[in-house]
Amino acid sequence: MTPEQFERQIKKDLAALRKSATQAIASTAQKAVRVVQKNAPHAFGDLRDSTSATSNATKVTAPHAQAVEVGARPHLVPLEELIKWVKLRGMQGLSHPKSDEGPTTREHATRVAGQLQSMESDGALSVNAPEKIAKAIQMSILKNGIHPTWFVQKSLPEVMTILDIELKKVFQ
Amino acid sequence: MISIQQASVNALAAHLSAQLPDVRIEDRWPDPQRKLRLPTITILMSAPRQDLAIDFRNLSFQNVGSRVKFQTQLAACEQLLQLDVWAANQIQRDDILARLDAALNMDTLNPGEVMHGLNLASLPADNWTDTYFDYWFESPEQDDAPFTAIVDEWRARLRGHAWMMLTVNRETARQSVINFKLQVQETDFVTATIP
Repeated sequence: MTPEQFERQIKKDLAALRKSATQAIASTAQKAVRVVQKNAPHAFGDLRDSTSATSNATKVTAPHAQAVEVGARPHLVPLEELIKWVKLRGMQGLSHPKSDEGPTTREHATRVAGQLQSMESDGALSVNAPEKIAKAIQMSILKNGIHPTWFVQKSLPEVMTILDIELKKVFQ
Repeated sequence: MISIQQASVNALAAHLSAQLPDVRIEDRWPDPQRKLRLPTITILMSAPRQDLAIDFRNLSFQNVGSRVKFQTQLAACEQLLQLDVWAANQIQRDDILARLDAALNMDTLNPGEVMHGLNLASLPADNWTDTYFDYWFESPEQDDAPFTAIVDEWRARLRGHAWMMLTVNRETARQSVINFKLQVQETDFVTATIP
């Protein structure tokens, strides 16, 4: 093999390795989604829905994700976001009370649904019911804040193990 | 008894109290029911301790009557930390961050030396004799939310690591140690000068 051929071969091998390593990272990012979703606190089930992967990263895009990760002092949350959240949870609790599927826990959905049902009068639910619950949650965050959960940070050791396995597949 | 990871937090809290005497240092998430006294720094353990088992290493022997006390290293441990700075305004926050740069990059075991990160000896009250902690913190993050200005709590956050060696203390009959040392000396792999 001439020096020129050797150089060409090295460049070819390096390009192949780089491509494989990129695929390993993408695969890890995909698998990390499940790990992060598993560690997301049940009380913030909507975080699971907002977890996704790109070619080289796993992202949690919900607006309150960072506050749940690192904590927040008592503050006023916009009511519109909470009303949307309560409506979604309430519907899940009423329509699938025995199901664990979906972006929230059965307990959470059932509790919100129970709160909505307790507000029924003559079998009809007031249109203001979700707003009342949302205001209660708003007041709770205003009073208690959010304690940090570090659900992403706690996922990192498992993600590192996955990355290790994926890279070993490439370099073996 | 104090866990070794809590001892690492206690040592850091004591160090920061000495370096920033005008700042309140707490090792728990601020109580939401009361107004935060500013400025405050909170130190939290943000993940379970990670241990890496190592070969046993005896550090010290101490004769106590007919018995011997000895200390053995078992594992290398890592504890993730979150350090939050809570200040009354942006100027105060920046002042604390500037002083933290110096306080978190200090070789306290060799005063006058410069090092990346911080090393500290454990506090005597925590009963982790001859245990040392190494810390390293990432650069601070300031994510001011829209409500920050309203509540007048300006926050900065530093993610950090503390590393330490886990040791156990045991006490046994002195004769057991003498027998063990004799066994070690009689094995073939011990290097010895033949006269």
